[in-house]
Amino acid sequence: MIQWIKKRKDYTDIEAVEALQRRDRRMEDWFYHTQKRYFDEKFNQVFFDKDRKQEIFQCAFLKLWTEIDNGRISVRDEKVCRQQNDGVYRPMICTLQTFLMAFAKNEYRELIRSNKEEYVAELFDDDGSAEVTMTFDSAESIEEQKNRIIDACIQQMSPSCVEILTLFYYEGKSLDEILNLRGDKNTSKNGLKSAKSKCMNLLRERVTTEMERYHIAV
Amino acid sequence: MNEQETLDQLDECIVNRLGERQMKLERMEEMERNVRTVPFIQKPVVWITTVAAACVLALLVVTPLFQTTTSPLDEVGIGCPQLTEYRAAMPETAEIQRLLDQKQWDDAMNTTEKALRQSDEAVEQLASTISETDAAQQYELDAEREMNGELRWTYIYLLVHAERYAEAQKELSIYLQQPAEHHEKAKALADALKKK
Repeated sequence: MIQWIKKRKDYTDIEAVEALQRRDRRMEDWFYHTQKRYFDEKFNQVFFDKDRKQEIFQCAFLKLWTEIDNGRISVRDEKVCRQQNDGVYRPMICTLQTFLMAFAKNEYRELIRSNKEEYVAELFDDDGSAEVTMTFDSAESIEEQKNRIIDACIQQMSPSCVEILTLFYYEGKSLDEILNLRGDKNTSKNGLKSAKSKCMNLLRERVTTEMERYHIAV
Repeated sequence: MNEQETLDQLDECIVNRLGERQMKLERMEEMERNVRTVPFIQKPVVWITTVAAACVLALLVVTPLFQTTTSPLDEVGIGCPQLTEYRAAMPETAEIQRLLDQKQWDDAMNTTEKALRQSDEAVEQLASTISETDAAQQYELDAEREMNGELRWTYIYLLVHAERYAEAQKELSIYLQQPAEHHEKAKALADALKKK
């Protein structure tokens, strides 16, 4: 009985992916906590920046969850597969946990490299030369393809840009409200307004370019 | 579709995906809060253990209440016999009374049985040799029968006390053959024993 009490229900990666794609809240809870526990156990062996621990985990988990949600990681022929850059779905050779840690390592490297952007000029992702490379399965709907492109482009934007766009366009906050929320990150309302426009234009441009590249109607 | 409409549609898609991302972030914050704020008492293992312990405790407390432990002696209202009146008649009766007073049931049982068998023999012998015209002999027989009755009644009490109901019923049937002091109670006891 003690063994039964102690034992937590474990799900396979296949069950997790399918349930997350169904937006199963219980699975979301289980998946989040399982990954968090694993990350906390391995963190000290891999990373040395304890202040950024939660930030690293959140970015990595969000990335993994987004890929599962938009279908880039999905179950095909009873295997968890990920779409590669050549468009073909191949079975993943590691578990989702290991994949999460790979994302986390990338996040860690990015954080060390970038050293925080506080000025308007640094709101944009380096020189924009990074491309979104993906191809699509012919069976996927246009909607799925568009979503994947937009997610990837958002991923490439700087965190500040994403925050401003989300607050303004998604949450419908005014510039004054955003200025208050962001505190010292923006020096003036005009600066914020300018940043908002530049961020949105850049995002639109990237999304449009990618969609045209893949011959998807905007 | 004109350019503006196209842009509007694109913006709508972008805003939708920004929204999806934001909802995931909020959901992650909610899950993070749940990790920290689940009280100990709400953990399933605590609940299961508490309920199981409560059930066991309830069983231990309630089960004895449903067990029938009433002796037929209590049902009928029969107290420990008193042989003090007959102490002078037989030395054994004093010993039996002492043992009853000290609740030495096994010794009392053995002594009483021995005395009863002796008394049975004495009654049989007297009854077989008595002269109907001899008042003294008749008196002696009556006294012996009375003593025999008391001894038998004490023996019956001790048998029922020891839950030797079959033997008690046998002795009761003998006891009830003659008019006796405890006739009514003996009858009630015999009925009570039949239900056992």
